[in-house]
Amino acid sequence: MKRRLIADTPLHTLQAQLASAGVFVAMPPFVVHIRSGIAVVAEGLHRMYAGQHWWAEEGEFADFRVEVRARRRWLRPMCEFQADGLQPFTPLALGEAFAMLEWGLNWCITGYCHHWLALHAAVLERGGRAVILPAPPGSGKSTLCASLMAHGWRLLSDELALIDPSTGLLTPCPRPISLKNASIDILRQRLPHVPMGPVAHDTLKGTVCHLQVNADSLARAAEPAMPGWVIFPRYQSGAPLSLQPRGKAEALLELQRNAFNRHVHGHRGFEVLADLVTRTGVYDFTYSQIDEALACFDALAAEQGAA
Amino acid sequence: MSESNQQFEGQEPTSGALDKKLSRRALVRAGLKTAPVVAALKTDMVMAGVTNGTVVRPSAFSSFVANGQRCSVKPAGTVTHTGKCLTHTQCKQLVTTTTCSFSTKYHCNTEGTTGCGFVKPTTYLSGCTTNNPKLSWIVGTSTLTYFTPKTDLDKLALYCALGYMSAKYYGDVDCFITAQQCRDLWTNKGVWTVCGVQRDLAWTLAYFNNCFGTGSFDACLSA
Amino acid sequence: MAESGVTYTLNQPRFAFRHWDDGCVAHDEADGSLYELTPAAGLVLTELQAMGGQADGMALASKVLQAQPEHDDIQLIQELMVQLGELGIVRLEPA
Repeated sequence: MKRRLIADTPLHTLQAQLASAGVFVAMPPFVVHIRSGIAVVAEGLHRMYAGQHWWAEEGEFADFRVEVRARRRWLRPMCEFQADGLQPFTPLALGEAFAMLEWGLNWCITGYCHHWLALHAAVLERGGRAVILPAPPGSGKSTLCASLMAHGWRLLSDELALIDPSTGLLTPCPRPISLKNASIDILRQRLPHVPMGPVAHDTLKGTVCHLQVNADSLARAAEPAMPGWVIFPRYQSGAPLSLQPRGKAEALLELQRNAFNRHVHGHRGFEVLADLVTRTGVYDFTYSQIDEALACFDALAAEQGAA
Repeated sequence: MSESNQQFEGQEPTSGALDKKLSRRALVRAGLKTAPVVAALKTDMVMAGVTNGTVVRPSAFSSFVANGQRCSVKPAGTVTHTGKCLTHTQCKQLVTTTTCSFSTKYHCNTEGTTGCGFVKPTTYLSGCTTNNPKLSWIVGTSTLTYFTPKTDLDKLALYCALGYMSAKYYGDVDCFITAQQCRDLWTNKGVWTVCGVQRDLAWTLAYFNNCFGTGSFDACLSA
Repeated sequence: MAESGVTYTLNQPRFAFRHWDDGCVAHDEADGSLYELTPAAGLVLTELQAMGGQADGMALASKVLQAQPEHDDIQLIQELMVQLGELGIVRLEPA
């Protein structure tokens, strides 16, 4: 089958194919089949996945077959996400359709891919060691994640830490970084040359948009990473920079809270995460200035390199 | 003089060793005087775990190790169980509807494609009478018919079918839940014993929903 | 020296735990619950496991303290074990 780079494909061609039989897109480590007749989905794919390949012909196994469909409601047009016939979410406003695709894909991974232990965390790597950033919403994780990627850290994921239980290594699944509210303008100013996706207003999370993954992270998407640190980030306006060791026991409990599928893995998953906190540097991290935060991460990576 | 002091004097410890022992005792005593549980994370979901025939087993790890730890297991991955469930009893061996009749013949034809540790449902199960709800769920064709479970037992049937197909594909050895467990679950209407604890239908449905459904991801979406 | 008339047995394989200097976490495989325990509780569980998962109060106290235990030591350990028993982590049986 003929694989084509999305960047080399006219938008109207991609849009037409999406709306008819659909497209297969390589999103390492997955192959996803997507159908949608909604324009903003095509625009989002065209811009955010420009460096990735697509094809139309059947014949290759697709990990997920998804669709984002328009639905007319009395008050305003809506969209719904479907995966293999399942509709896991309530419909959203039509303008959120690309965001819904991204959330839906995250759902597919966490819902089906139980051969990994999946955590709600960003993951980046430098110098052969990965930092895992588990964080609740509002912690500034995505702003930090995007800034680190632009600063030379390889992005494995902004949302999902996929841990192979047999090796303890992290599997990359680099996809557009999800930004919301204030972080959108902050990163527009910091990274004016990095493409951003369609902006969705008034979502459950506020204003949402996505930032493109850089070429280096995509090029190395088949390269797993050894965990080096678990860092719990927290943005606090005006706060001095702080990197404090966190107790292993408390950190393990917090990691478990961020685990999507620990219920599947049982004792094995427990041991994997216990090994993770034992072998890595575990910290609480508070920041208010991005540049200071980046310097702190540089220092951590340098220490690791010197060790 | 206390017995413990006599013991120390009998052994003639150095003063450093005596200090160390007293210190350890003091530390341990201080620690034991506080309540042992600092925090708890309670969930009510079963674990994949040790094998004693009554607990759920981890999902297909070895299969994916054998396939280079890739999520997209190349088919080979089409699971097909075709058969005519001619009688109620035979149909019960796979999955059935809640109101099947002993005198009714069913045609049970299940298919699925593999991926990610579970067989994903492209299941087609049909009941041949109009009196019974159809479990027909065809994905990947232009005509899509979705099964909407109406009762808890309908949901259980769906989950048992998915679990059964996964078990059969992965050789019923290192699978998420064994074929026999799926049959037992269906026969016992969702009641089973896991890690020595008996679970009921409501718990079982919540467990499968967590595995096959939105589960813990909802919090990520709405936060 | 008062002897504890109780045998403590780790409830394995249902429970697994991991112990560090700053604390301990126990995992209940039956329902996925996790318990963060104090370092002292973790130490006692670790020593009990090192004794094959079963011991009486006197022997366990000796192992934990690395010294001849006093009555208060055995009593404190028994109180701890009662609380851990309520969680299912250990079983208490007459010696």
